[in-house]
This record gives sequence, structure tokens and C-alpha cells, in this order.
Amino acid sequence: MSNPKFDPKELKVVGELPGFFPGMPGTPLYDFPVSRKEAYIATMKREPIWQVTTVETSLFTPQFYPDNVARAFVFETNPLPREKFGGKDMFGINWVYVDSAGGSMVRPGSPLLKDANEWKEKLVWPNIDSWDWEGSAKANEAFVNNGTFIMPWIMNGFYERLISFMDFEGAALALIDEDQKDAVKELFERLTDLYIRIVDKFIEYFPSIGGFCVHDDWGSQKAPFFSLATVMEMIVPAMRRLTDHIHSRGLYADLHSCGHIEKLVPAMIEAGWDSWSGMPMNDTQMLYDKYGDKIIIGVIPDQFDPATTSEEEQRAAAAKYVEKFCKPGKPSILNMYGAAVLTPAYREELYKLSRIKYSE
Amino acid sequence: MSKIQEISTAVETGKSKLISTLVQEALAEGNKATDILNAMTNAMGVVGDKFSKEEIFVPEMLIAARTMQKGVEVLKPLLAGDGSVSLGKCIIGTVAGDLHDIGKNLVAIMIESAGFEVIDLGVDVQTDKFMEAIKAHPDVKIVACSGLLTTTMPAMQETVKAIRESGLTGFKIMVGGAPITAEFAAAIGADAYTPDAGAAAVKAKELVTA
Repeated sequence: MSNPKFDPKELKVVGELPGFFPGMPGTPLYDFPVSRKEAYIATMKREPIWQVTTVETSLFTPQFYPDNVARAFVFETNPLPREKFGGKDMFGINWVYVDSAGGSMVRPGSPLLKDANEWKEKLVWPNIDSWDWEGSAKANEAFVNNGTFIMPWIMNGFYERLISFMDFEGAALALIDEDQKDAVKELFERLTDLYIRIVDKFIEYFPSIGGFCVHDDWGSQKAPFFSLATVMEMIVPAMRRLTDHIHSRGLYADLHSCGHIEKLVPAMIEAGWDSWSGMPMNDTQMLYDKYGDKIIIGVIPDQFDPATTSEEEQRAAAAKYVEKFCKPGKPSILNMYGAAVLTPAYREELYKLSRIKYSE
Repeated sequence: MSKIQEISTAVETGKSKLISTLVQEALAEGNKATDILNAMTNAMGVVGDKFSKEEIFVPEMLIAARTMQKGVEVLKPLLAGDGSVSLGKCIIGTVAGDLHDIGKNLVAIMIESAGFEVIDLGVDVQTDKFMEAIKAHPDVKIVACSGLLTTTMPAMQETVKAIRESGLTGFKIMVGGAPITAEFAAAIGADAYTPDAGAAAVKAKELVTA
């Protein structure tokens, strides 16, 4: 894709995105030389046009997909009222919506599987053809053609899915128990088969989408749940087949994985993810330096208090970000967990300087 | 390597299929049941320490605990009635409004492995239920409250306050969970805070043996 020289006229604000949550300030949209989707894809190709932040992508988690409702994570043209959150996921596992936490979880204590070897006998696999793909495609036509990189999420991934079947301890144990490991591997491969079918269905009914995000939390606030060796052996092979398939369809693959999991980044790379934006307990700046040429890291900028930081200082902070994390061939994503610094001044300076640098 | 050392190694490395035989062999060699139990408890201490240092992770800790439990099953008939082998009772639960049980369960497993009798009240435990359990077990040594959600920190505070104001004594209160800090624990009147399951077991032993 061509990368035209920066023109100061691009800084003209031609639109505004509403805040993500009610009450949050809107985000200005500049007179971009290419669409936001094209800019995001260019970043994925490591030929960035500007520093991508929070405006280039759109979550797409439609309500016909049972997991999105169960996990209270519906983003589509028709908002779902919170009283409808929770309920059964695509495997019939019941999720409880916890309003104060803004999310759902499976009530622990009575897992479907006591042993991973039971999965062939007890799991009822979803009939995804029965979902209302066609109706949703019609309803969401404008939603998925808004000029951004549309990214459906596959909730529950692999380990999370295993937790939903076995509770946390059962799932953790099954990953290293010699009597259960083969069953887990086979289950994960079968999940990949399912996810590949879901990917293909999305592409069929929503051809404008740009990629997929798979949600699979791998750690607590303090540490990974499991060792790098365990992930490499148990999860990576099945994941790799999924990312390979996504790539074979010309799309991109983003991993959403919470927790303090710096140690597991080599597994993300091995699994073929194009990008990962870790939570703030991870040293994302270090990870960019170490792994940014292999996986696009969501970098959390140095934080400041917008209320007490002068515009000049804010612009200087943006310049510092561009200097450190906007390298041709080694781009970054400005991590949403660090988006509090995206004041109008910071955002403008970040856009301008990154455009200049990337179009040199 | 002595049989006792073999047992320690088996627990540390989670050799659950070997442990029953090893314990039986150790008994046949004339080792005391209490010595074997202590070896396994100490091995779990090593496991907890490695977990705290992130040298091992949750699965390895769980499989070590499972190994110890299998070993204890062999010893149980020999230890029955021997009160000296228990460090006492520990009542544990996740506070009201919070359904998360992962941290609570890991702490329960490690505290049990350290030699306590664990009474697990589950998740979303109302203050009244903690109080009833304490009254039902007046010899309790540790009451442990867990919470993952920031929004349920007030429930933890309420539980600790109610226990303190009840006048019930003879036990220590431990708290933990992702949003909990040592400062918060002190502010709400808890006796101890620990950041992870391995440290919780060490602290619980310290509190009852001090």
C-alpha cells in the first residue's frame, strides 16, 4: 500500500467517535489519507502508515453467538440489555452474570467433566449452522462496514474453555496429568476444528471483517497459570492450526490474554498470533524491545495525569512514544490499557509525528 | 536415597502413581507414620516456596498436593486419633458477592498440605455463615477470607469487622486475593495478608506456632 507523505491538512478533524462508555469524551477523527482499516492492516503487515491506537478497530461480537451473551460481551448494531446477560454458552455451560464486575463466570463446584477423558462422552457440540448468521448479517451490514478493521472475538479460547468444562483446578491439573494430557490435546484439536468452521462462517456472512481475536486468559495478576513448556506442548499446536487457517484466509489473528504473562510471549509467537496487548502488570515496553519484531505488541505508554500535565509536556510524551515504539518494520499498537494519555494534544502529536516518520 | 527422601521427591515432583507404594515401603522399613507425614508436609513447603518464586506453576502445585493426599490416605489409619499431627482447623471462604474460587482453593490446598484441617465454606459466603462456622468450630485456629473483585473488598471488611466485634477469639484472621494488599489487610483488622498460596501456608503455620 502506498504511504503518502504527511500533509498537515490531514489534522483537520472531520468526525468524532463517541466515547466507549457513556460519559467518556469522544475521539477526534482526522482527515486520514487511507481508511482506518487500511491503516490497521498496514500495521499488521509491518508497513505502518500511522501509529494505530483505539480508533482503527471495531469489536464485533454479535448476539446470535451464544458465548457473547453468556459472557456479557455483545457489541453489534443491537445492544443487548444487561438483564439478558449470562446463560448458556454454545456448549450449554451456564454462565452467571455478575453486575458489579461487569462480566460473567461459570459458578464453580459442579464441573461438567471430572476428568478430561470424559469429553467425548459428555460434550454436546454446537450446531453452528443453526445460528442466525443471515439475519445478523442483514442487521449488522452498516456495523461491519464502518471503515474500520472489524474483529469478531472467539470467546473462551482453549484453556478458558477447558476451565468452563472442568473448573480451574481440574483444567490446570489436566494440562500436566499423564492420564489426561492426550485427551486434552485431542479436545483442543477438536475445538480448533470448531473455531475454523466459525471463522469460515464469519467470513462467509461478514466478508468485510479483517481478522479475529481469540480470548484465552493465561495468568493471574501475579504470574502465569502454567509454565511456558506446558503452553508450548498443550495449547500452542492447536492454536497454531487456527492462526494458520485465519492467515490462509488472508486475515489477521490477535490474542487477548489477561494476566502477568510476560514469560509466555514466546508461546504466543510460536502459536502464530500477529498481535497481543497485555495488561498493565506486564512490562509492555520491554516486551516491544525484546519481541516486537516477531509479534506486534500493544505498548502501554508512560502515563501522566492529563489534568496536571501541560500541553507541551503531553506533546513531548507523544514524541517520545514515536521515537521509541514507531519503528518501520517493527510497529506497535498503543495499548488500550494505556489509553488514558490520549488527550487531544497527545493524539494529534502522535498521529502527526508517526505519519511523518512512517512516510519518510 | 532413603525411602523418606524418595517420598519427599515424589511429592515435590508430583509422582502420584508412586506415592502409595513408597509410603507403604517406608512403613515396612520401620519409619513412623508421623515422620512420613512430616516429610510430605515439608515437601509441600518446598513446593509452596517454588510456587511463590514462580519456579513452578498451578498445575505442578496441584499435582504435588494430589500426590500428598494419596500418601496421607495410606497413613490415615495409623494417624487416627493422633491429634499431634494436625496444626488445627482453618475455616476458609470467598466473601459475599464474589463467586471466584481459584485463589481460595489454592490456598485451601496448600494450608491443608501444611497440616491443617480445612473447612471450606465455598464462594459468596455471607458474614453470618463465617460466624456460624466459627461458633461451630470453637477450636478453629485460622479464618481465611478470599476475594478477587475490587467491588467485594467492602464485604471482606464487613466480615472481618463482624468477627472482631463478635468477641470470638482464639484464632487469627488471614485475608488475600488479587485486589488485597498488606495495607488493606491491616486497615480492616486482619492479622495477616499473603500474596499467594505458598506464602499463605507458611504464614498460617507461623501464626499458630508463634
